[in-house]
Amino acid sequence: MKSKKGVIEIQFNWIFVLIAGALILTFFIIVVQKQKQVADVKLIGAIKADLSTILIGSQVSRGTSSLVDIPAVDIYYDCEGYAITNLQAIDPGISFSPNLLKGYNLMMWSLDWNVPFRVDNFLFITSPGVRYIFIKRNSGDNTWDDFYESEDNPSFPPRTIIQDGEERILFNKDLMIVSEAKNYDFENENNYKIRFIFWDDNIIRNQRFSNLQDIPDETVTALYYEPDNSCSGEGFDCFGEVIFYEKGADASRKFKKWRDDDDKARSYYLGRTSLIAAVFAEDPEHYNCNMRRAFKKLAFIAQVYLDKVDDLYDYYKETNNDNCKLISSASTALHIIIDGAEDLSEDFPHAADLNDIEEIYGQILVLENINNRLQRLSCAEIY
Amino acid sequence: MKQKKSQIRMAETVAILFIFFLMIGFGFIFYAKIQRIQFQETRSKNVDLESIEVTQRVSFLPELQCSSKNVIKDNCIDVIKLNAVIEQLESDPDLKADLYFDLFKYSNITVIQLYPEEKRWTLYENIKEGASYAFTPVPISLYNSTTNKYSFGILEVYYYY
Repeated sequence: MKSKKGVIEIQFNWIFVLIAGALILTFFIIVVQKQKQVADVKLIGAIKADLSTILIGSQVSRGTSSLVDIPAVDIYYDCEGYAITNLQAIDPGISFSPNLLKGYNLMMWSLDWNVPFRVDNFLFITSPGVRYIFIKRNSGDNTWDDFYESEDNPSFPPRTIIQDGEERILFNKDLMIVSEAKNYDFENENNYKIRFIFWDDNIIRNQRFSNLQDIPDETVTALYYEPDNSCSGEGFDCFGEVIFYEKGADASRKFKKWRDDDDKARSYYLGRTSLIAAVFAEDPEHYNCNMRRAFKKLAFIAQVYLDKVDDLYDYYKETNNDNCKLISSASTALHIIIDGAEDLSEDFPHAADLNDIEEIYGQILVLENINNRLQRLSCAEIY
Repeated sequence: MKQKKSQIRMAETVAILFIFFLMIGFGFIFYAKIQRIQFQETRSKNVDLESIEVTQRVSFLPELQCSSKNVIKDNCIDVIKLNAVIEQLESDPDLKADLYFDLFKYSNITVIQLYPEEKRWTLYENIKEGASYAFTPVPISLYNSTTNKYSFGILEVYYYY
């Protein structure tokens, strides 16, 4: 009887130790797990706060490009802004990027969109892991010269920069002749996205890029730009069409229009900054949604300048300054810009939008002319 | 007698466990307090950064900046454009939410002319009742293109969080 009691007591002790031990172990496992979650949230929160500051800083410092080191987190981009995991996206304003940014650094570049007054700064963000290849027809083709790298006009940032004494890739761009691109070994270059930029649609329609066959379809895209017939030269500073292409999945290995849909693949540019924006935009949806925001801002700013023109005209009328009264002629141009921009901010891009864009472009030239004349007459300038 | 002994041993074990959990509890409370202080410090740093972001955005608004032949003058606000913007925002209240809420969130942005005479323009007002705020003043010049004269002023940004 006694020994039976002892056995029960020993068994009870073991059960007690087991339960208490399991409880303590569970407690610590829960604490460690919670701590890990808190540490992750804190890290992502800190990255988000720093990224937000960097984005806003880059957005306001127009014309400058920089390479920013970031922790190795994937940053997703859509029309809402830049997001890390499921945290709320950071919206730095009008911005163009691939839909996924990865790697240890980002190239940030902002350019002002002038039509003809500054409407906003467009922010361009990409990773050195994304490759941009500008295709030339042959070695004598100098179409891209003023766009690829130029000291006189806004053009793409240099390929490399010297930072902390070492050469680093800032903007992973290349200028290639079509025959060179067809034989280039893209597969072994470790780029997670490749964007081709064409000015000759014959190349896109007729050339086969069979060397791209082992690269996943969704990572290879192309952009074709075509200035309007009324534009002179290369038409970078004018207006026209941009058409987005993607790698064809069929055996032909030619590029096909985005989603195989001519309407969805087609959009428009107005001025060099918006053409550059199309180069950085992942697809027409991303490009169009940001351009709608840009046109909305244009309508608002044009209205502000219209009020300024009216105020200045009233002042010149009161002071009998006949020379400067010509400022009133800017009103009509601004009204046309406001109407066109309001249309474009709602349903851009529509086939009819090219007319609105053409009208706006015409009025840009009119305003530039009036502003120059006002300056020569020592009157207050519009912008 | 033996039963009493085991009862005492059991009570000892329970007491040790109780003290053990009590100590873990104290440690946890202490740790949580430190975490809270660190969180508040980070939050305060983030609020300062957000406030500076809003100030940067206002300072670089193309609809306010002075320019000549599209060359921007930093830290300068064109008074005629400022009046036009305020008029636009007053005539269409949706515009304020559409264009500015994402940029300025809950803030109060005022432009004050200090010299030669005092004047005040409220550009954006979206106050969060009962919330704390961070204040950032920025010295600016104000340009009147009709008189071609500059005056001195300050841009005040109250950022609510």
